[in-house]
Amino acid sequence: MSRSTRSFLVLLAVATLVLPSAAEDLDELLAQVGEDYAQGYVAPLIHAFGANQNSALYHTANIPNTGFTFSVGIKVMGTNLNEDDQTFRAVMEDVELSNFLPETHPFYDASGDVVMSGPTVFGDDETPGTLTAYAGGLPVYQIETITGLVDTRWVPLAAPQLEVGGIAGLRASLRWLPSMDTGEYGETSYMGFGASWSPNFLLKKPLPVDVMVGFFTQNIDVGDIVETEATSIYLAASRDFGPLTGYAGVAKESSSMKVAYTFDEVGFDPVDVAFEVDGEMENRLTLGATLNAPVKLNAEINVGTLTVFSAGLMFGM
Amino acid sequence: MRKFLLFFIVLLTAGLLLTGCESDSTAPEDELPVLSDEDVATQSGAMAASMTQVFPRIWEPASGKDNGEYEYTFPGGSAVQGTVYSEFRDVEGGDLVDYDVAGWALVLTEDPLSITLLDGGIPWLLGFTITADIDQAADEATATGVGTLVVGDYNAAFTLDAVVVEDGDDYPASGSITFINEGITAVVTFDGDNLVTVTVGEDSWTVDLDDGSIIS
Repeated sequence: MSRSTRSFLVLLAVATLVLPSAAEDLDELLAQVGEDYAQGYVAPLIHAFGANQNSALYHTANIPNTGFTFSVGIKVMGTNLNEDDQTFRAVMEDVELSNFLPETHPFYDASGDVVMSGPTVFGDDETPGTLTAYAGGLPVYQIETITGLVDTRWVPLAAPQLEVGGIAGLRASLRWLPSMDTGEYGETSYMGFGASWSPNFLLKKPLPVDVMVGFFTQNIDVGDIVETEATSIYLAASRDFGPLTGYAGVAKESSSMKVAYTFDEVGFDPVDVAFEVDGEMENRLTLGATLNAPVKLNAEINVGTLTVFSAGLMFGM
Repeated sequence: MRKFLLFFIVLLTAGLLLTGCESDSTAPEDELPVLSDEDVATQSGAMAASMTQVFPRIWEPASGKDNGEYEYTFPGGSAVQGTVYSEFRDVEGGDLVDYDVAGWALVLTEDPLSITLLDGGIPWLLGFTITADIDQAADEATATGVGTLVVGDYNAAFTLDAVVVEDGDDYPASGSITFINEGITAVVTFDGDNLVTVTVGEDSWTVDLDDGSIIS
């Protein structure tokens, strides 16, 4: 086995192993809070994950019409979160406090406001947040909630990618990982596919740049806790400068994440919680460059609601 | 070669510009519920009631003395918990002296005091720095200073304005405290007894300094 192949397999193993472990930790944290708290807590994860999925879909707009081409490699992405995404505050006004207070509390039958605040899933992993109930504007009850899962402003993702094409200006792409059984948390799976088409081969006089259109859709399920879906439609252009290829593109995209867990906290009956949130990133501008050597190494930046950096390493022709 | 360099410069410049693009925030950051004037009046009354327990430290700082520097810890079971530190000098900026001959005092908290007023409620956190000019002959001290009060998720600030504390009296003789929370200003005016007037705009309430409750 060549050294490059061995390194590729190690990267795949790391990306695969991290997801189930993180899902288990996230499930244990979410079990301590209700749906309203959970939505604020995981909001940065939901939006960054979708933005990551729709990144690094291509590294050139050139699709040769010279016969069958094949390449395989890995793409890595990272969303750089806004500093404010490490904390959150969600407020529910004029609610029945009996949903939050112990039955023996003097204000159990009152109505008031509830303020939930603290670290998000990417916030302080040592200091818990709080849930505070107010009656008549005065705090009557407060509990500690949960800490962040990991204190970071970078949300990473890695994806193995296979591309085949070279006929009639078409290229098909596939992202896939074998399903893994994580035991009580269900199976982890990654599946995505897409296609690009370049009209350059039809033109008698080539354009000054290569252009292509394409789409990609993918699903990542992390056990029974998280199910994600992401779709992108893009238009890209590129031009070769010796060993370098510069490329740029625009895309319309969508993403969503379903989160499901069981809220099971002392003093409350267990409740199955499930909610789905759409990702905020809907458009992006991509700018990147590829070094064409024996392997293709690319780096790009994606700018939209979120800023995503990605890189890729592709082996093949 | 020239085209390659031009492309590289354009790409680098664009990349540098784009890397300055920060992600938008996606986590919710809701505004806190709006407080009513009466809510702020209640909070200021509770603050004033707590400060009434602090003012005697200007005249009787603590049991045991140590060259002008003292500390007083509130007894267990009281609504106010924590420790107050004080120092006494002959004049402001002068030498440390015993409290019974001092002309100037500094009273402050290093860690906020914990105030529990509501049955089943959560403690509020009171912090302050007070200075007082002491007239030993007249048994009067005039205090000024600033402080903060954390009420759940709300952070209030207050200012003492010429609060006169007489030796042996339970309540300030005169002066006022201006208390501000979420843009609402409440003024607590002392008049020597346990009932004080709290004014917010054109509205006023009467607060009992014995327990911080609103009487009317």
